[in-house]
Amino acid sequence: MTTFDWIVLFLTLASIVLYGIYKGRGSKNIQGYLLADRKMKWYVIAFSIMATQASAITFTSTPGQAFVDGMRFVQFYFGLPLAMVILAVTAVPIFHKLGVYTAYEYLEHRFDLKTRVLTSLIFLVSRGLAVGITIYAPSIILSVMLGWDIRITSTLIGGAIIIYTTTGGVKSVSWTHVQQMFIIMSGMLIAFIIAVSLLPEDVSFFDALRVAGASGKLNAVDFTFDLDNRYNFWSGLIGGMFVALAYFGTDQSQVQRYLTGQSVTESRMGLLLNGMLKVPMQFFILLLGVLVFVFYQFEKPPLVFNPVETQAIAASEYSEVYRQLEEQYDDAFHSKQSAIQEYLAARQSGNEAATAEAKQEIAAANSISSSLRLQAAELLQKNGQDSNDTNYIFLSFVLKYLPTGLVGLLFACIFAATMSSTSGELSALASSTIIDVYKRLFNRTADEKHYLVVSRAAMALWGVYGIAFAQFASQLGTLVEAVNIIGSLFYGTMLGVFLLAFYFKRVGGTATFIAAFVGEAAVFSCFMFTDISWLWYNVVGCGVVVGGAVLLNPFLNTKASPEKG
Amino acid sequence: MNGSESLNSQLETGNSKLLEEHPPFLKTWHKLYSFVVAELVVLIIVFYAFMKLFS
Repeated sequence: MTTFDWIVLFLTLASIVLYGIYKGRGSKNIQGYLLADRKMKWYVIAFSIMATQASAITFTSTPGQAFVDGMRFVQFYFGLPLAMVILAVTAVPIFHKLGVYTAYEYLEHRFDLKTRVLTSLIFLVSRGLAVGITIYAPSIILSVMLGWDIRITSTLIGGAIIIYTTTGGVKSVSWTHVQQMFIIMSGMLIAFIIAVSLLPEDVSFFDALRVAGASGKLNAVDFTFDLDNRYNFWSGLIGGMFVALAYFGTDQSQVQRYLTGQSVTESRMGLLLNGMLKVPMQFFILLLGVLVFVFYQFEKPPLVFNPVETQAIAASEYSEVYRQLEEQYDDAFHSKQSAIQEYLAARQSGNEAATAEAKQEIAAANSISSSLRLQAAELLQKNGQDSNDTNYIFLSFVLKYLPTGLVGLLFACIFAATMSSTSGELSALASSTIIDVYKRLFNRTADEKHYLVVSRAAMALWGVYGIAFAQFASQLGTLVEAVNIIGSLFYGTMLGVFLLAFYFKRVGGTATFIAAFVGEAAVFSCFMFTDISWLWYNVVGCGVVVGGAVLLNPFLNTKASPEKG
Repeated sequence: MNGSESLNSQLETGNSKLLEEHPPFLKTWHKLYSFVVAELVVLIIVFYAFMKLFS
């Protein structure tokens, strides 16, 4: 990075912190601090929801995923708009009319204290693990790409977030989300334009799409029903809808975003706008990845995109094997390049037989390239190294090919995305800690000033915890991936509890409480003893909790508890 | 009055006020919800056509 890039990066980050402090000034009570005085407009809510969901990994890993796997990941989001409609109809009016601070507070109104505490603890544990990962994952990538110590990147990111979230609370978080989304989307749009402009002069944008299509990268919709296939139309529509229902309806980091709405209309509009924008946004980011793939059909890519791992394998006992793989990869690249030129020429001349033949050659060359990348990954694994370079593909392209200034902007996007998702998580963790645990169980009679002070302290402590976790996470190795999967193990149960609360008026707290444990057992059984995609865990967990509670309820003879919050 | 009755009463009061609220676009919530679902259907069709066209 040049000095100009550093200036762009620094100014962007400083503007986020200063804007957050400015927008968050004047919170005098916990309603102001944890719910922005419920005065947010729908467009702020929508961008805040999108920014909380979109972590740095979304913007580093998604284009890389398209490079490796094509566009099929977009199907994961097909269920999201449906979930937004369902939540706008059901959850939003209920949460608003009861005036709750957290989603779990509603469960005490509807069921009893133990159900509220159980679900809030599930949230605190799963989201608490996630906040560390949200800081750690981009920190490790930035450390590799910038050559910084991970302690510096995680402290820089976490420290900046703590400053403005602790000062201004949710008001700061929501307004900086709008700013961060603007920075991120501008950066991605510029990267998209640059990627198109970097294609050879005789290759148009549509030619690039044809090359991507011939290479099987435009696989955006697959109607085949297969439980073991992670991303197809059905898993995206059904499984994705359950994931979105659980995430946006029961996870306080999202519920808090629309609880800040001035009215039911504002909150509903925020959710619906998210439903309308999310799918095209993901499609656009994946298409950017596809364009990077096409760019690398004309410019030779490295065999492995992670520069640190490349250096390490080159200095290891496997260096000779790796060098041979690189040579074969170069040969495959050259054959592919000529096949692509033949394909484009044949298309232009309208020669269908030659087009089909060249397409087959491209497919064959791609298959060889993929196989060589796989062999290289296996070699890295054998040498005890990180074999997954998906996260580094896009940043490697940015660092090497984007002009001065834009590199700084793109890195600022990564920092901004980390800050946006982490700040949303921190404010949610703080609100659940204070409202569901501290205020409800330990200190119900203190004044507003006291709760405001402890809310700030909780926000800061969760931030410090996130930074500390990120610094030690490197020692967890592949466990980090496991932690991400663990998060999905709880969503189905939480969704089942909320569905019972919304739609099954006769089911009481005790039946729900017991069914929640049975649901968790079912999800863990699926995780441990089956190969089904994790997207279906949410369906299983939710189904078992709802079914179990409905069956148990008559035997327990309990209706909704009279317990009040 | 037990917990669920009290909760229902609170929600019913709220729901009657809700009927007065209209979305800023398309006049009714049903129309807006239909629009969101229709947009999804159109996007899936466009993605499919896009995939077929360039493959």
